[in-house]
Amino acid sequence: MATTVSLINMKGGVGKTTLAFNLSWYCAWRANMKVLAVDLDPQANLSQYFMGAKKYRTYLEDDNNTVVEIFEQFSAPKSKKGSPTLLSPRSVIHTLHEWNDGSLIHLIPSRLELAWTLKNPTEKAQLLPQFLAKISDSYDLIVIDCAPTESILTAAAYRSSRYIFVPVKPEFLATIGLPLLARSLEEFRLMHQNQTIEMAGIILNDYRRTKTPPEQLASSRDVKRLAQEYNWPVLNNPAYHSDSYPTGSRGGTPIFLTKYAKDYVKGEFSGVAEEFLKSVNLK
Amino acid sequence: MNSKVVQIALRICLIKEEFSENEILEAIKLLEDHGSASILLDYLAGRKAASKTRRSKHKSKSTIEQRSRVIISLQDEEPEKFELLSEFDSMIRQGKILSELDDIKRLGEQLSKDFAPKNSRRDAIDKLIDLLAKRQVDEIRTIIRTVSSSDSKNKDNDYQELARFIITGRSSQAKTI
Repeated sequence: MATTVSLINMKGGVGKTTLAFNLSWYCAWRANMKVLAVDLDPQANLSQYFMGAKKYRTYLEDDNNTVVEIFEQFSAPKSKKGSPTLLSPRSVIHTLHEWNDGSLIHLIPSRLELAWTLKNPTEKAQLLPQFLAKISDSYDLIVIDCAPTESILTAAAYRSSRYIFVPVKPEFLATIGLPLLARSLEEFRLMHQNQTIEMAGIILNDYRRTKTPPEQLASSRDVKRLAQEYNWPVLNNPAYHSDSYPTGSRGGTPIFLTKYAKDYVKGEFSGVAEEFLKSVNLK
Repeated sequence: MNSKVVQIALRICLIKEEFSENEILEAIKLLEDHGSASILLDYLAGRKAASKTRRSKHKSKSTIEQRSRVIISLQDEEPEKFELLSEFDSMIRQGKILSELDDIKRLGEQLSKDFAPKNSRRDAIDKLIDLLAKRQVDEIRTIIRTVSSSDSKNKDNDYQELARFIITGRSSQAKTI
């Protein structure tokens, strides 16, 4: 059965998608795992990152299913079609890479219309965990890239996850996302006491390895102090800043396969990924 | 008679002893045709260049032969795969696609975790084609299509097309009735 992990933060632009993409690749490529990445953001950046602009556009033009169909599979059935039928998992999961050693990366893509789900959220949050439960045995790890909102999408991610990770950019406004998330997670736990969900770690992202600006140092201190108070782990390995990440996002390559990415950058990311795997008991 | 004159006379005797009369006449004609030693050197350099060209032609021929050897085994048994890979191989070797060694490495690495060519373009191409040859025709076709459309000029267009699609729900490449 797969371990399901959500990368979540109410604040946008903290690097959730970059981490989700690179961690998924690392776990498949380096740790030889079967990985399913789930794009749970209407902006669909993870889908575009994995598929590239052209393939993603073609995927949508061909009217292929996305995560939207998981949430809307029982919405407003038409009389012509009769009762709603269950969505076939294969019709939503897009194969990205499958290697000879059995490792793979699959994707449940997203699209902008996922935002419509937010307009009529009644009883939809449980549809994602129900869907993932059916396919869980086919994977070692399921990584959910969440939208920067407190919504039914957040609830769906919580309900699907065993662990959550919180990427935080060390800057004042980004650190505010952390207490917001803590409150949201606590409320969820109170309401769903039969589910085990754990804050597996805070990942300081986009951290400057040298000449670290005073604002980054101050924000990191704030985050660590708050984390200590609530007993949340902070990963020892920050995800350091590198221009190779945006380069990889255009080329659809993880940091360790990105052209001109420095070896020490690749090494630093390996540190983050290994700690990530240990934190979720997959190493 | 000074010693230098004797030295010259001895060398001439040596030449007459060593070479036939025809060879000596040809050599004299060569010197007459090309004048001074520097021009003669130019001529010799020209000969070298000519022989280098011949060698490089030979090398290029052997490259073609090598490429054919990698794919040739498919010719009879899998003609469709053979066609696809021959064309793809030729486009890479001509630098029309995957023009940098790194580009070939990136593609190979995405296809196989064991892709580790030597630091030469030729070796990387051979290993990439080997890798592709093991795949199904449809898969190869998809990979070639992706590679062909992924140069930076096309990527700019791809972004514009995606942007248009997101805004209007249609792209300029959408099929029209």
